[in-house]
Amino acid sequence: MKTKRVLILASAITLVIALVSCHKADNTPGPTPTPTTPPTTSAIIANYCANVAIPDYSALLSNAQSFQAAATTFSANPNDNDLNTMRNAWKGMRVAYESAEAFLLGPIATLNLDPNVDTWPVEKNNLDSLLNSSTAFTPSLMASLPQTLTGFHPIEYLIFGQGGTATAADFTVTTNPTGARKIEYLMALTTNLVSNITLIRSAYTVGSSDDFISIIENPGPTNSTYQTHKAALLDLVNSMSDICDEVGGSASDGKIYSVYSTQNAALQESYFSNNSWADFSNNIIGVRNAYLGVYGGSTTPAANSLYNLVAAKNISLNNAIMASINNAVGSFSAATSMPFGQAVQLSGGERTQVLNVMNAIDSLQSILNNKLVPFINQYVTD
Amino acid sequence: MRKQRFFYFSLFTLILATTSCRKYQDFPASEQDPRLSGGSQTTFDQGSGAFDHSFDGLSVHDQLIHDIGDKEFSLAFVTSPAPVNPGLGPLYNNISCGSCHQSQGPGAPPTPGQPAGLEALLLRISYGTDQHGGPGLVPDFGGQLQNNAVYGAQKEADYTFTYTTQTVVYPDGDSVQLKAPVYTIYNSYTSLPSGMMVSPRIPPEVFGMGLLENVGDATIIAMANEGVSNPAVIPGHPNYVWDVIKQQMVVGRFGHKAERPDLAQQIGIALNEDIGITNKIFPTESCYGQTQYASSNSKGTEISDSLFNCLVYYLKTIQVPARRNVTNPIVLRGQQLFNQAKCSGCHRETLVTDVNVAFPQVSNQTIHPYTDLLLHDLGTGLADNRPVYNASGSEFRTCPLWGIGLTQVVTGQTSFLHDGRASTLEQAILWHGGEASFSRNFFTNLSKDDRTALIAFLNSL
Repeated sequence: MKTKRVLILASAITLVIALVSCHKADNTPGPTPTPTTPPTTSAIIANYCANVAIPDYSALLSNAQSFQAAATTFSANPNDNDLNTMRNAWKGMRVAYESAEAFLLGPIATLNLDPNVDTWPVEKNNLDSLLNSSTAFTPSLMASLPQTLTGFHPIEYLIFGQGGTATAADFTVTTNPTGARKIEYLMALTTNLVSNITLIRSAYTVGSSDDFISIIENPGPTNSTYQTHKAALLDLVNSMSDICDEVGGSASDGKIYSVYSTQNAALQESYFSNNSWADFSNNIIGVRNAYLGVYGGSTTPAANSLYNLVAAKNISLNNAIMASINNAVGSFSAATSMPFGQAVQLSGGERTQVLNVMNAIDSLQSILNNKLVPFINQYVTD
Repeated sequence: MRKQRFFYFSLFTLILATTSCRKYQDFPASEQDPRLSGGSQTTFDQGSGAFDHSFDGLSVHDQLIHDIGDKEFSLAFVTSPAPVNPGLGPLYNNISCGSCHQSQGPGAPPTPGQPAGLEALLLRISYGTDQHGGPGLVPDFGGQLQNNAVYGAQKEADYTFTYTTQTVVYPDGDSVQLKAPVYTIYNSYTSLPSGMMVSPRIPPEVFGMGLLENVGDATIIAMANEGVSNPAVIPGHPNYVWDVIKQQMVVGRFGHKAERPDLAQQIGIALNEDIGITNKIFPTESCYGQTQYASSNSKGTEISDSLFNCLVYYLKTIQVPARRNVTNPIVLRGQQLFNQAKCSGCHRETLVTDVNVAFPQVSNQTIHPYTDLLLHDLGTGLADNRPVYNASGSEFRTCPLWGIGLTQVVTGQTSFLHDGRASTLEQAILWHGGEASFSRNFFTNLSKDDRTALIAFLNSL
């Protein structure tokens, strides 16, 4: 009897040790308790609209208006101090826009609102010709220009210049023959940009002519875009995956890969401002925001988030996704000591850091594609 | 014991005989999944990215080629010199492939009553015929009206259009308004010749083209021949077009009038005429010889051969979206009506691609594109009155219907038919005439529920 009891005890201890030793270390930050009831899909979509997309696009519009104010101040009396303020305001717009690129859905994609503001490369030759002409920068001219002559990047070219060498003197007629024309173009570009960003924001305003909220929050047989909540949620997740593919893409000629593999800094998107690291980083922060259902730097998941849906059904998958997101977001901190365009041209550590960022983003895309999409297909039924 | 041995020997012989006589057979239609529109190259994504999934089974290298092409498809061209995508213009209709084929789907016409700018719709023009029987170039304008030019250059002309409307009343009293576009060309840099023919064109979706390219000539010709004897099939005929690479007449496949023989030539001419990008197949600027560009006679390749090849490979390797709701009773009813109306006489459900040992992903695939790739007369209502080789002014290639139900989801709009005049599938059906008159009349005489069912079927594609 005693032997049997000892045997049972020993077996129990062995079992406990085995179970504990099989439990790998969980490095996922954020001690969020597993919810007992997963959020509904409709609640996740509603939270995405209210607490991710709307605040992001609101910040974008607000930052665009701040940029317009900075440009107006600068144009009245061009000086290097105000030029710097304007440049920072431009970067502020990019923060909000790049994070929103993690969810390019609905009219922002289908009405060409994204290419209207963020087309790249810049039509530099025609831009210079325009500056050297006397063509008035009327709203109708701006509306007729190709997207390579409007939006963020022509503004970037004007205010940063080739290699970031622009100065306030470039905008004054006394020192630059096209200085006044640059001011006129800058202001016309800014008005055009704010107008397009206003349209983007209105896509997430209920009752607007391009109201996307009513579409994504109300799937059903009469909804020509989304028949089910699942379709809407999959569209969101696929969009999160797409931005990873577009940015990293070691297997798909992504923005990092194409510059990394050619070592050609001129192939980067925010070339004039050297803002590529910030652009890429905010793209991935946008993925994190969409997964956690938050905006504004918070890393605490919203109750009605993808995070809590996955955590309720498959805690290890949630941990793996969060580890991948945090790894991708964190990878930038080691790499950004040197501008992206320079880092890719080195053979040493900096170039390796670029590779690490790319690999981290590729891993994130892989888990979104190969784990999260199948998870939604399996568990979301409405 | 001997008897038993004999029994086993006989059994063994029988098994051997029956199994060794069993030849390879494809799966019968009843065992095939109707959702697999693109055969093994079918995606189940039903969202906004449904038209942009690469083929399965590509090697790492081939996947990279696909993705380089994908990126090039979306990237804007700019004027030379430039580090990225140089060569735009001097004349063009738009600045990238993706500007017209938005999200790899079909484009939309511009706003009526407004001057056209950078639009998805373009105007093909011709004057008489060329030495191969194809559309003749319009002196000083070429084969396409470019309504945009790089800064400082002179565009060919502007255009605009308005709609006239007509009402179709069903026997049950319901009615539908149909819009017919009327185009006006103005501000031409020099006078347009009288007798010039004009055909507006909406860019089509671009997925599944590698599979359609691998439908053999013999298959297309056999479908044309079948139309002579099979009453369920509406007789059509292939277009025979000039192949600029082979320098001979061949079966046409791509374009609204099947005017291009293969994808490489379709892409080459689109780059050249739509964007002004010279390439290895069409190396001469579209404005060459025109009086406003007397000095622009250079030939060249503004897109490198390798990048061009990536673009072609990309467009060959995009999956087809799967059908949805295939067991829904209304959809099944609609499918039955689609066949009874003889829509399937041209929009053939199933084709089998050729065996292609060099490209296994498209080899011997049973696909459901709902086209016969043949030309059919669609009547005077749709006619553009601009012949293209064997395609008369009222004939068009049967439009593939696969993925059509996802057009709204992917592109946010629906503009059907060659000029995008139909904003609903119902309008598109009602525009059919000519050889499709029986089908249209069958549809108009259906009850409202049955009309709805037929459209539900189309939306399941």
